[in-house]
Amino acid sequence: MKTVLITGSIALFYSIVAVADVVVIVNPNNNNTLNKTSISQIFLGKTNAFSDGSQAIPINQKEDTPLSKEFTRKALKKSTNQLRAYWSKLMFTGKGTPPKVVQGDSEVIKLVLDNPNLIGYVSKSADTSNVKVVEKF
Amino acid sequence: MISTNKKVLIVSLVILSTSVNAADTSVSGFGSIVGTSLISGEGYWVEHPSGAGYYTEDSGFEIEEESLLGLQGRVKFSDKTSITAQVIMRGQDDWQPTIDQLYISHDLSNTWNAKLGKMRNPVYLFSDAMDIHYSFGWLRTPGTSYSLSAIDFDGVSAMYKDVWGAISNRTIFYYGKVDKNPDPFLTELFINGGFNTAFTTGEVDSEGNFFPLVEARNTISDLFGVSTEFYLGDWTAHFAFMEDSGDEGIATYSNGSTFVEKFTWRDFYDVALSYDDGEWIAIAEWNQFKGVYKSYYVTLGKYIDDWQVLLTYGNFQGEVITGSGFTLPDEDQVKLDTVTASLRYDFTAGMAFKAELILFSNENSLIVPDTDGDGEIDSSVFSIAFDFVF
Repeated sequence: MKTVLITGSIALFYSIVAVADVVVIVNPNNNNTLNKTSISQIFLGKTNAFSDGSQAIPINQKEDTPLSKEFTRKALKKSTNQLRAYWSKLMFTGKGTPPKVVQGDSEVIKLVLDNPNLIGYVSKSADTSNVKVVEKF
Repeated sequence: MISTNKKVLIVSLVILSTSVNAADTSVSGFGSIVGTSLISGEGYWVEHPSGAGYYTEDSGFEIEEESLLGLQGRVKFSDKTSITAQVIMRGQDDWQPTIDQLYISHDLSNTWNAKLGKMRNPVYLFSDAMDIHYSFGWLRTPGTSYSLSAIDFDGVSAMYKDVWGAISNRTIFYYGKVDKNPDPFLTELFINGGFNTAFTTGEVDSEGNFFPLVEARNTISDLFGVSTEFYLGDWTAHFAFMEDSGDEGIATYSNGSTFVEKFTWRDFYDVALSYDDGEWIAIAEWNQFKGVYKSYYVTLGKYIDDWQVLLTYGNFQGEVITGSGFTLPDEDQVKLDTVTASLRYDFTAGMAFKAELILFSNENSLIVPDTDGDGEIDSSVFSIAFDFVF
């Protein structure tokens, strides 16, 4: 029984560690300089463009996932509820639309590889060898 | 026989649900179920939007007046062009649907967007989101400061978005006209209020017969403005200017005669500053409608996990100058003070429970009769609400 509990605790610990780091990725051909502020601006719809003027299209992961919650809290400084309220103000007033939501790291990576205008985030453990990591949270 | 409004709703929903490419269509919605009861005093009138909610001792626990359901459909024809329609059904209108927004939107570039159609007037910090109760912490926007009749317009707008380092900006330029026929806000104001600065509440003929006002219409032939917001970290600064010219109020009395009050031009200014770091929230907003009023409110609040508590003080000072240039004496001007305690609890995804207590003090009330004759309306009102988006 004790062993099971310890094993369970270790598994829980590693699952927390696994989602504690979020990496932001862009297409390898995207040479824009991005930092925490500009990433927040893009994901909150405050700008539609990268620094070189090209279109910036953020993609989100499902909001009920630990990774999405972590990104929202660390990068956007909001809770999931606060972010939902924030976007409800913009989308019903014609000022912006929330990022498209996709399922999982592999889909984010695939989309980013296919489109130089996309910017997304994945877990640190994801295979990011084919994309460019621009920031960590 | 299907009413015109229902036809409008049916046509809108059919258009929105029969896109050539279903992937380009999205339907979303919002709503609020609001229950309010007067705890003490003569009464309380929630001015906006559209004069929703007039609560007296006889009202009991009223659950229909401020409740609403909104549906928004968006058809995206390309990456740059879309059409959006927003239909709202309000309890105060017996749930008759009205099209509150209907516009075509086109992205001219990554920084410029143009819209044509019926849109919300973005003069206040929360004016275009007044019906989206889920988007803010209060149960309703502060009544002392959100009391402009022209909350939407038919016309064009251009939105500019850009960033300069850590500062980002969103600016909207707009031009259009307003024809609210009838204007539910002004009709309620003039019929129930005895607010005789623009119209009398009735007309008396040469034989002494009294014909009460039955309807008020408001038209503005030229309305233009600019609304800009700057964002820096947790801070938002909002500045807005609006001018209307050719502003006419048209009163219709029960004998069919009309009275027209004309204003050549009127200016509106709004300044707001807000701070929201995800733990603390502070908002201050001041505005002036030249020749009508000045108002402000200050809100302080705190997030505690899924809870949010807010305390708000609001003030309204009438500065009414009639169309003929007559300035009402100060003792006849409307003065309001409100203290509001608000609670929000996000208990599940997309839905929030809210409770709000308003302590309201009013001299020269617009609507509520001074039944005890002390020259003031002192009332307290308690409301609960479930706000949702989907």
